[in-house]
Amino acid sequence: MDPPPGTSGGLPQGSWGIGFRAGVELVSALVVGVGIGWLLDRWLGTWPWLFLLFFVIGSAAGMMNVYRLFNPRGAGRP
Amino acid sequence: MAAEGKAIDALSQFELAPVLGAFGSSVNFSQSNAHMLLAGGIITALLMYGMAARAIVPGRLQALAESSYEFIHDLVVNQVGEEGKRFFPFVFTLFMFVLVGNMLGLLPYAFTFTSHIAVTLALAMIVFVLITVVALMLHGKKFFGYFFPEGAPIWLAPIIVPVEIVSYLSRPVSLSIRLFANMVAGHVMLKVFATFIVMLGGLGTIGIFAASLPLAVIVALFAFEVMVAFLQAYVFAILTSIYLHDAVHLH
Repeated sequence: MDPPPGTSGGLPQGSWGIGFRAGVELVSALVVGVGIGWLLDRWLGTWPWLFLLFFVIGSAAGMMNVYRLFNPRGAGRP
Repeated sequence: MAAEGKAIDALSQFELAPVLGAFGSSVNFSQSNAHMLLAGGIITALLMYGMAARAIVPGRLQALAESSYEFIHDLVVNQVGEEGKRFFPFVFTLFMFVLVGNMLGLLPYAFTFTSHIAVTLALAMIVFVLITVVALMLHGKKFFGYFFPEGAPIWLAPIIVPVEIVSYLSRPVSLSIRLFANMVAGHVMLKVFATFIVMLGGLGTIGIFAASLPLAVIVALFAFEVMVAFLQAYVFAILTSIYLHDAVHLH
């Protein structure tokens, strides 16, 4: 149970790992955004406007997740 | 079996089937639940039996128990800080459960319970509820300032706040999808290459030689899967610690 090399308690830094992580962050934010929009639309009967709005918000959140991957909030964080 | 009817059936390994006869089918006790109990038993046995000797020079089991303890302890203290020590039991339980689950799934005839999104999402929701409750308890109303970074112009709030909220809500989803997708992809690949061996092996003399190619692939793939099994448990634990850090310090 050695810690993976090259990390002092940080995330693994392999290119494959980073790429996969970025993809997952992007998709999951999109899924949450679309889910919220779809549920609100079903509740309020405003299909498809809130869905479209939250689709855009979800995409933006996904982009921000990927951005945070490389520039975490706050200084001095791994 | 997988190669029946000359078709690759890579997904039937994830199907749930009730075990323990009539009792199991009446309460839907599937092999997934059985493996979860087994994982809990293995962890408990490792820690209780391994640490029973309390030797100064540890034996093999004691060394394994001690090093896994220290590994997660260092991880939590590095990521969350000294005040994160009270979250150590939680992160340790989570890490060991995911790790033993991933490793158990690699054994022949075993079932990988971490390959079901219901299981990983439940684990991720526990983490999500915990970090939210911790942040609310420690910071109260200031927690909601987390969704609007300081120094941003106020007229941007209608754009930033929904994006930040969706980004926050996407945490359990990304946490669970990452573990689930890694385990499913790995096991599907193992099954596909194992089916190639059986199919090629059935082709006669040439087939035996041809079958050695996917056999070589599967040996390498299996080593890779052992690494993935450890790495995904590690990533699950470290992301939990990073989220706990955010909840405790609230940037």
